[in-house]
Amino acid sequence: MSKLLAFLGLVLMGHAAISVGQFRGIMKERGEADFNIPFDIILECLVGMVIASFGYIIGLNPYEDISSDSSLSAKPIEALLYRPGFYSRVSRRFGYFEDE
Amino acid sequence: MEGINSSTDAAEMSFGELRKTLRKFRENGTRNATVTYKLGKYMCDNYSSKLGNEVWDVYEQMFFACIDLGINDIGLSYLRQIKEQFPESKRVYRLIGVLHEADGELAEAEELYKEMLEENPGDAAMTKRLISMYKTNGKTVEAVKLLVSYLETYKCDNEAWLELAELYLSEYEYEKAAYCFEELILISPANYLYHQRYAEVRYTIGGAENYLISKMHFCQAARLSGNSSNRALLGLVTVCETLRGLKGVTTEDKESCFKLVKWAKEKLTDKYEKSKVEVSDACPKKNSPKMTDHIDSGLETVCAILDSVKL
Repeated sequence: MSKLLAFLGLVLMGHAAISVGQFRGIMKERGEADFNIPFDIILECLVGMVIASFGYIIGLNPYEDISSDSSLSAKPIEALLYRPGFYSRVSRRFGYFEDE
Repeated sequence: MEGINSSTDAAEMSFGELRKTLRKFRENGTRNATVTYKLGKYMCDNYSSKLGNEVWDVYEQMFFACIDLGINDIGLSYLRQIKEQFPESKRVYRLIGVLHEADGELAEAEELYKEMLEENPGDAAMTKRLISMYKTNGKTVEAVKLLVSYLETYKCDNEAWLELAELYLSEYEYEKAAYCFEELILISPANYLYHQRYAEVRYTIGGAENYLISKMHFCQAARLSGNSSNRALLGLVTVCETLRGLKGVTTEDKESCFKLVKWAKEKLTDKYEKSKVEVSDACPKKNSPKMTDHIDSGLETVCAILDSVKL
């Protein structure tokens, strides 16, 4: 759905761009230098932009909970007590390791 | 990562699983040296080219695993490779110091750390290594002195405050340990473990005022952990039971204790019942009730403690 909306919005904006190009071409043929882009083309461009933005945003993943409460409670105790700077050798394992 | 133990065969794991497991061990500070060594050795022998720059983190992890297992010569081989890649790195010098300590060459280790500190007195990591060395060798007084002077400069270092708290607890200096935990709570108020440990220290010190503080912090620890910390819940029951039996505690406080104990009892009973169901569902052997018996006896013990509260 989000991709469809985004695509639709882009199509509308593309169409508005092509319309502006065609309008400029017609105005040049008539020899009119000063012209304003018609309101309907501007409206189409803006509506296309809104639809494309909306479609893109609703397609994003839901926000993750970044509160420190949620992330800390999920960590194991050893992670919370981890003090890598004060590493000390666990000497009780000495002599118990056998390489298979 | 669940189910990884010393009987796990590294050859059965894919490169992605091995890398993920070792990363998780590094993040959480897991000190399972046998498993780390097995998985890391297999990874280094078969997939070292795929690791890219992460290989140096794995080599460092393997070095510490070897030191823990007492196979210092193999640890030295990993250290040599790291030193070849990073010849002038201070981190490598710290690893060399760790190796000296593991080989019992304490004088050399101390000399190395002090030399590095003379070059750069602000090197926090090197100071921590020196403190750790003093602590491991029973020189608690020197370790505490150095740690206190370190904390006068680096006041927001969680790790150092936690280390100082542990040192004070080992020397039964509970008031000083409580001060350290207060600093930790100020720095990281969302960490439930600091509240839990502080509550336990306050409870140990004793007295009505400390019990009330302890109750508050056990409540906070339980809340922050999402009621998953059994220790906080049991601590809450214990301190509330103590308060209810104390003179000098107001009726309001006693009533709130009564409600808290009831609440904690429900939570604990639910958790133990739930864990019993989960274990029996996951139990591979149909006729192996040992695990459920264990949980049953645990549940009975908890219920006996809670029933003694006389709700």
